[in-house]
Amino acid sequence: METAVTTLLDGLVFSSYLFLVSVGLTIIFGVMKILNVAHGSLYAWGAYTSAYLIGVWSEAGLADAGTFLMIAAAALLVGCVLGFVLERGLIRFMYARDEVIVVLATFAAFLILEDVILLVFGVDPYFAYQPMALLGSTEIGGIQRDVYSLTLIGLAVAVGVVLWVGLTRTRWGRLLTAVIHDREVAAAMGIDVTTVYVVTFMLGAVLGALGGAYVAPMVSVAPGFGIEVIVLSFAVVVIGGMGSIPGAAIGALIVGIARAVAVHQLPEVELFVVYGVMAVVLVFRPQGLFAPARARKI
Amino acid sequence: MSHATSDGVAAAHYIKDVFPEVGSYTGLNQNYAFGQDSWRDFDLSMKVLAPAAKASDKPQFPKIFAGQYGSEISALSLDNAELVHSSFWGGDLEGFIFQAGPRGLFDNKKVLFTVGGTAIYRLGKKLPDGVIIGARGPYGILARGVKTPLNEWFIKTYVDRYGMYPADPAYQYAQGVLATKIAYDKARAAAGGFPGPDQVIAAFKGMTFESFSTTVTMALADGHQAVTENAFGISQWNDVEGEPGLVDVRFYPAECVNPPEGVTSVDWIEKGMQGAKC
Repeated sequence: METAVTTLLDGLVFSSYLFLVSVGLTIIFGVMKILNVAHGSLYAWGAYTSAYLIGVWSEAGLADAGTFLMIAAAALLVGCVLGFVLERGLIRFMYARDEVIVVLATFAAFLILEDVILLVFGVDPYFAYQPMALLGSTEIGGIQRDVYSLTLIGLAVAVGVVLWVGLTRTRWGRLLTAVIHDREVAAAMGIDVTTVYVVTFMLGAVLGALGGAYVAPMVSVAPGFGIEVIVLSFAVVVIGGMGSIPGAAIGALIVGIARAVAVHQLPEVELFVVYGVMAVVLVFRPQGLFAPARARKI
Repeated sequence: MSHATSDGVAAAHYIKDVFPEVGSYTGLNQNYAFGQDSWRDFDLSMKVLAPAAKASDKPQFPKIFAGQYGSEISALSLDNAELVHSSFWGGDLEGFIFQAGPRGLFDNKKVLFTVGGTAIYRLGKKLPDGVIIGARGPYGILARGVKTPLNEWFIKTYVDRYGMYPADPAYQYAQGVLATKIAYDKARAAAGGFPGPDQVIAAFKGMTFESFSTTVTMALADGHQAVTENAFGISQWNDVEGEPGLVDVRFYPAECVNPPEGVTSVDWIEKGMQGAKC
């Protein structure tokens, strides 16, 4: 029983992390049909900026509770600035291009941003343990749990609910849905597609940066930090169906739980299980589990 | 520096000598050659040196640079093994320490890091007391007590320049530079002029020299692979000096923790480490 509870909780925590880092990727793809490989860099920049700001905050002798503000500030700062610069400086020139060109261009941006991280933050790992230390630990299922990683579940649910309400219950969400279905018709109906694209890319960038910023207190933020996450995010998004937010949630749950089961029952296959699940899903549903339906153009 | 076998064998010796009561062990190693080899050598060495200790059937092998080890920490916490062996290094090592600390892993298990020397200076008080620390040889904090003029010069020079004590990689890379200088000097003396690559390689072969903190002998792979002694200690914050420290440091000679020339590591360990001089 203890193992079952622990496995489930481990799976939920990891799923929440996966959802946070992949939902921005899937939103950008869903609206703009851009497979943004630079998403991993946004995650890494979010983490570095968060760790840096938390360090500055703590060294100033301010209350540790304020470090959570630094996490939010890092996500907004990185997402808005880098998101805007990337969309206006690179992505907007890619809209009419082949998908392969887009992948190559964003991969180039990813490599550049990784190197800029080294120039700005140096090569030594950063750590920002204060938020994690502040929340302490509790006992669940017979073992100690740090409360901070459990809050990932709440954050992922909150982000998911806000996105769902935003897309289905607001005017902005309906505009977005119209652009997702048909860019040209949406433009003909008077929707400012350019603004929708910029805001969507910035939103996706903020979500990517938020994933990194929130994870930063749990890890040692080191060079190459964004590489691992981009591979995992792609796996989640492909399983769920590219462009689908519920798909990203279900994909994250499947991968997170499968990985946790592997760690507890058969650690040798932990590496394999994520991609094994992806392969099985793609065999039976090549478009992913929840790929949005596409209107057929005549 | 020696190859990875030395770490696993020396770690098993240390457990046998300092914690003979340990009855079970498990591992957390990155899933690539170094991590797999590290666990294999430690596990095999424990079977020889501490045969009563039982290995876990679920050692963990997370992806290198995974960053998040929540599930692995849970699995290790539920595992009844008393000791956790890990060859984690760099950011993975520090991340694991941050995540495992609040979850009580260091309170409930003995944890042994074969590459822990890189973290001890960087983390300071955030590394718990009681962790068994190796540094892939007698380097870094394990060499603080080595009172040779060369070591004292190296530490002072490094501290003056960088404002911190040299960790194990600083020793290992400086040792590589020192070895190259000695080999070039030797080759130049033999050649009567600036030597070519083959002459320098010949000078390296079988060479023995005094490095900063230990004696290095090119003893394996037909005289082209170095061996040194190895060492482990236990972390304990030094309140007097206000800096990290180690207690119960033990050194193991090169001939004790490395296989002899021409014998593979696995064969040597499995056959009872024949010829080992401890």
